[in-house]
Amino acid sequence: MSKGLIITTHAEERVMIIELSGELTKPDAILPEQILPPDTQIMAVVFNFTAVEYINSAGIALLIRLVRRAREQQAAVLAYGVSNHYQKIFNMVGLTSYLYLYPDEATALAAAGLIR
Amino acid sequence: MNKPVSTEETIELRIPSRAGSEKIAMAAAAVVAKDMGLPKERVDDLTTALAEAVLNAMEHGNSMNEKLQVIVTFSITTDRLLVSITDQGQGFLPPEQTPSMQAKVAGDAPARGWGWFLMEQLVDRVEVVAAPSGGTSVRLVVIMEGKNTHE
Repeated sequence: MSKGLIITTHAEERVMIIELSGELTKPDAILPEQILPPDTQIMAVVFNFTAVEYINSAGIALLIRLVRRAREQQAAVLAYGVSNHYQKIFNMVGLTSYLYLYPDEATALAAAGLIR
Repeated sequence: MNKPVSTEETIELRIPSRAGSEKIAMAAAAVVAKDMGLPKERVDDLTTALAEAVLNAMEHGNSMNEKLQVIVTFSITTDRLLVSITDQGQGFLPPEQTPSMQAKVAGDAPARGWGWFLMEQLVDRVEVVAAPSGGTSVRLVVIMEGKNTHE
């Protein structure tokens, strides 16, 4: 019934790009430390939500834990590809004060200081 | 669904307390809400609120016991949609405090705990009543804009 969540990450310069695919429905789908190890030197984390189909409150909890982890490392957290509905939800819960939304990959990466 | 206001149509679903099963209720709600003429934004709001209510019933009502069901009932009239989500557990009380994103991001509060808040934000009214069976019923009410209400 649940499609699960696929997370792929790669770093470019000091920006960690996290591609999310599927459903964000489990707060412990991944340990934040796995994505952002303590010794990682990054200045920004960029989430790609383009392939995310469903987010519930448990998935929001996962995002909070990831944001918390990034902030502990003084990294900005940005995202793109969030649907209008989930933009509304993120704004409603106050997540957009900590996770900054951009309309597309180019603007998000530029904001993160990464020019391709 | 062009019928007198006094006519109420009822649709009932029974789903197991298994994570992911809430999507059955979401799909049904989307069909019902679209058929009533709700705009896409309100359909999305309803399905998200319903998902949270069903997950709440599974987790806090039925303790994720797959032998216990969540009963979702759509009661449809021309001026409103009422969705009742009933668990078969021992009952639960809704949270009293509004969650704080600041506290959660700071690590001063658990990251979870948004379900009830989302329900209250996304539909016109949320009610909690004790079910005759001993569980709890959460009622989500969506008012059709421009229609007279009879509640």
